[in-house]
Amino acid sequence: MALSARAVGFTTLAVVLSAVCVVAGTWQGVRTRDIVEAERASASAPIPVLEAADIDGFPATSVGRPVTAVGAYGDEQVLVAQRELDGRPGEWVVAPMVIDGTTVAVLRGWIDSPDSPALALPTAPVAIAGAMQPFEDFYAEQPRLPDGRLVAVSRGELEAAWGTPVLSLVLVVSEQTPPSVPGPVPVPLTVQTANVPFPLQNAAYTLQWFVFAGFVWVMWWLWLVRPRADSLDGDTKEMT
Amino acid sequence: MKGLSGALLRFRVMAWVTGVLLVIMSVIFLPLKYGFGLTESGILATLYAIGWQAHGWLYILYVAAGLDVCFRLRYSVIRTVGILLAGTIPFASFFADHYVTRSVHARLAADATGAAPTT
Repeated sequence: MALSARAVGFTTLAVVLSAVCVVAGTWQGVRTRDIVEAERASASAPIPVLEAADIDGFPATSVGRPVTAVGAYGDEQVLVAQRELDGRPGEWVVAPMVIDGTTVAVLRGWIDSPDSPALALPTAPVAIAGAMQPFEDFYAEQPRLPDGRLVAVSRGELEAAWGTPVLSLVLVVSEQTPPSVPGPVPVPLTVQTANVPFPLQNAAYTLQWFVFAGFVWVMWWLWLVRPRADSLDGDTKEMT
Repeated sequence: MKGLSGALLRFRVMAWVTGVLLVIMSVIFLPLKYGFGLTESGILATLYAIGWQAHGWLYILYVAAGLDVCFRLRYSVIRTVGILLAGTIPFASFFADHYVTRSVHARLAADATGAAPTT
């Protein structure tokens, strides 16, 4: 069979459509793998905070990852305004903690007012169990109120307040030993994993996109070997 | 045109099963999720996940049945792709069903009177 314009058109279309399917399927496959790895990391045993991230960046699996840290809080605490806990208005307290020369932003928890006694810092070093969370760097317009409180846990604002680069993820405290009494109430994680053992839907989509790519080539073959359809299509149109 | 009636029946079943499920998911469950946030947990979350899972696999069968009937009807590529994509748009598969059914009946009637070429 000669290489007709029709065959070239069919083949081009099939290549494009199946490429789209393969790209989409690969993307879903990567999503599946990422979710599995994130779930595994979030359920894994805590690691030292400096192993989860550094100043320059962090692996995707570190978001939500349980970590531990031992150190003393620096006294330049920063308040993040307008943070509710279970419907009660209040604020968040973020304190710096220098661990092996690296400053870590530690979200100690929630307090009900800016002059709460819970703001008092422990005088001795403490051990922290918690999890890593990303900074809230999406309120770039006005990250700081006139009174000095932040509206978001902004990395740039904290670095400006403390005069030093900070670790690229926030350590959110879930437990402090010995505890501060009274102390800030630990807050739930904002960014959580999907909390599913296996992302069945993404895995299914992966498979389905590759099946669609197969369908494209089935159709390519069927329609190519078939005699021209145009005249017969015309018949169908007249009849209906 | 032996087999055309069977191919039509398979396509019609898939068009309705896939179509009804898609309408339920898009008209009821999408507003529940994005309007009211009610599919975060519990029975609605389970139904939401199962519903989309099922639609994904049923749509594969819809495409297979659609390819079969469109090939037998000698539809052009454009028309065939239109019929196949109708399974992803709410309510569209019902129109696809109507359109394909009419084509098949016309083809069968023409065959009975010998008015159309049988290839």
